[in-house]
Amino acid sequence: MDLLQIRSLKKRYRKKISKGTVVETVAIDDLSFRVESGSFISIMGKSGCGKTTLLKLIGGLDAPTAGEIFYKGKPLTKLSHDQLAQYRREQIGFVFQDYNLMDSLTIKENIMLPMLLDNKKLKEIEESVLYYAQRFGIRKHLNKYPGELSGGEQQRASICRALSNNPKLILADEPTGNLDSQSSKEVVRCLKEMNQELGKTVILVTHDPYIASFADEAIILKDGIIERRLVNHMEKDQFFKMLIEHLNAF
Amino acid sequence: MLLKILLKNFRSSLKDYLLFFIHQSLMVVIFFVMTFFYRIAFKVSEMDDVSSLASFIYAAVLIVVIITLVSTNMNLRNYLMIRNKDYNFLAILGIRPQMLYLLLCVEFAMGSLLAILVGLLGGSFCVLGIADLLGKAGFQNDILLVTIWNYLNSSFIFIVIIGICMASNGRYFRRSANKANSESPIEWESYKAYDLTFLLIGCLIIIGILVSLWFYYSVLNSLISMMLLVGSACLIVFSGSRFFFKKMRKNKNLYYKNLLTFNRMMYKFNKNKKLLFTIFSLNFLIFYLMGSITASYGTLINAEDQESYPYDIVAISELKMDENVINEFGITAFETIPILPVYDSNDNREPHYWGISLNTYYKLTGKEEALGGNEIVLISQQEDVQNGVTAAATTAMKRALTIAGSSSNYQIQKYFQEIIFGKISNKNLNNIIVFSDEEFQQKYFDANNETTLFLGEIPLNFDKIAFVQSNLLVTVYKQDLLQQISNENQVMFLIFILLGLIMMIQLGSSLYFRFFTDRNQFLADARFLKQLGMTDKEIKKIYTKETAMLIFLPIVTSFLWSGFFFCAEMKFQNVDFVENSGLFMAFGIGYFLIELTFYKILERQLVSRVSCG
Repeated sequence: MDLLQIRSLKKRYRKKISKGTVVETVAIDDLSFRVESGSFISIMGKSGCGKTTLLKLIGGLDAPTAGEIFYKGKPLTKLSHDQLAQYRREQIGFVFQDYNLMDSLTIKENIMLPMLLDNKKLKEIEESVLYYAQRFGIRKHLNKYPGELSGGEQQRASICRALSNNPKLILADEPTGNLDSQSSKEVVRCLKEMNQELGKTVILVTHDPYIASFADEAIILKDGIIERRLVNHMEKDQFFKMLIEHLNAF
Repeated sequence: MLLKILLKNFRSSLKDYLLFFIHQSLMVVIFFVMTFFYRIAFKVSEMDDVSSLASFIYAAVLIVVIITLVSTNMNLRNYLMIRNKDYNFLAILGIRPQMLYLLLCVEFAMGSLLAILVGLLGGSFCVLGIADLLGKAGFQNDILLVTIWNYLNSSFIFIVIIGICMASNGRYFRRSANKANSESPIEWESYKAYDLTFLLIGCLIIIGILVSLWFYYSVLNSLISMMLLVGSACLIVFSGSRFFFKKMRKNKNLYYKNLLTFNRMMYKFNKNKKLLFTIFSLNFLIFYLMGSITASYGTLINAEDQESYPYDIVAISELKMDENVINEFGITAFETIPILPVYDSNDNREPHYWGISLNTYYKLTGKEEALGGNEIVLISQQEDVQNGVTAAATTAMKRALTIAGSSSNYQIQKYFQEIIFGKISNKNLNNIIVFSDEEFQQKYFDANNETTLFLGEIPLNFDKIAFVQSNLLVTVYKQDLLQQISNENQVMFLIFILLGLIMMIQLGSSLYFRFFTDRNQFLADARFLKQLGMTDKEIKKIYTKETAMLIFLPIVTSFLWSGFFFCAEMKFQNVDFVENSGLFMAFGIGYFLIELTFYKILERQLVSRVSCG
């Protein structure tokens, strides 16, 4: 069953550079694909190819210039601002490169935040926090502030926060971009775990072919269009080699 | 190369530069106007009867210099923050910090020098207007002249101020690249042990100050209490917010329901300690000034209302004169008050004090509380050695006339009582003493050369010259006195308004620059909260609360304090609060509306960007 369906998606940015001169940049150009529920998709490509824009459009943080995104068969462009906020709150979990944890909140409070916004019961919230913290190995850090944790630990906290509201779709934008290789492996292991064991659909944007090789499918973007789709029917190492070959061929 | 970099920087941050430039120019305008008043003070200090006005102007000029220094320093810091990104980039390219700071100083100095030119031009126009106003009010033209020295002095002092600021900020500039100034939540968590103690100390200080002000009101007390209250208010806000925040954590339902609001507020308070202290101080000062403006304006209005002064003339005769003798000069005496010359034991040639009875004192001041039997109260000051008697008596009698003429006017009573208790006296030698009635009668009976004060009415065709040539020691005419009261209060009124203006500019620019420099963080937070699924409306609500708290908490606190101060003052003066609070309330509401407008501008600049951010 398709969780997400993207049809002829276009996104153009207009920027005024001087009086009377407007430059139009094409970020996404006629993009169409489907994402099945429970799949793990990595999106790759060079800088400026439209990866982050695509993620923003899927997350309802930006509106497309043309085309449509259907989530569970419902078009996102038809939703109001408040409905989009509700969609993000209930259906989407974001994981970002710079963790986006609030400095003034403890790790526990940061993880609780989406559920508090959703007005869930306190008991339910605390149980959920403890469950995810235990699962991703940050339980002992719950009362600490983000500044006291390493990058890898902060990213795991960020993953816990993304999962805390039990969303269907996880959008991860370069989640290993600021991490060393060991921490990166831990983070991607967490992402894989939530995909396989918790059944979450994951869309991961990355530059790193090694991280992308954990996915079931890799979409390689170039100038806003899909250059190639590679489905992972093989061993991880083989898929990794295949990704390297395709990236070198660009 | 350097010029290219400067021009490029200038073009890229034109809006920031413009804000900084307007702020600097306004400071120069006000500073220039104050040097004009300084010149007036210098001239009037030579005149005995308005010397207290001169002291007041000197104090005001000093306050303006201090505020200008602080303001320029803050302006430089804000400028430094705005420029931080550019300079970090240049630092990455390998330019040394000293060179970078030099670059910033050149930019800052260029802007400031241009601001001086514009400010002097604007200031000249303001001074022309003020001089015209004061000229119409009866000030002599030679006092109101603006000379080249005004321009040179203002420019020189302002350049010195800029120099001091640049020199003192060098180390901050070197440090800013490496060390964040803001306090992390981990740090403020560790203050836990002291929160309650500091909170209690702050509360006790405030209670002590208010009780002391209520029962022992005086101008000096009110000034000291204002300064202590600023400190206590900050102490309460910082330690109290931490204390209640931590207490609230125990009530999980309440705490988590308002998690973002409580936390961000807490974070904001602790991050902006210096800013909050500045806002509190400026707001307290502004409200204090409002009280003073009310007083000054009240006196001004009262001086124009000649009906409230029943006596056309106050005079002291060398000899004891009865009403019949006085009437021979064409004066209808309303009242004759015996006064006594009191000589210093070492010098019997000139009286050092003028003595009045307690009964007379009551009559003149309208003060009903009984003084101690033999208590001596000193009034006014003796100024000039040669004209000591005349000058001192003139001053004292003028006060007497003022009070006697309008004992219902609490502002003038306050003025008089300040003189009585020497609060604004700048000389040690005072010259009127109050005796108990019995003692006065005894001394009056024993005295050989008694003197009489009489308060009377003169006919329209009264010949002043003939009257002065008689054996009267000193005479004060109502018209002259009212003119002088009007002049003094007009100058005071203008200076109070200028002081208020400079404080408001400083307050506005401090807040605006802080919000301006925090804008990127603010928008980043907004984006993050949006990703978590908050609606624009919810995000705006949080930021609106934060901004409103930072702007209006100090205003409300200052308003409450100044309201208390006003009540204490009126209790001291035995006058009705409702009757006299109209102008003060009008100022308060006006100020609140200004702040509200300012808040709306900030909200428009920041909060409205949440939707597009």
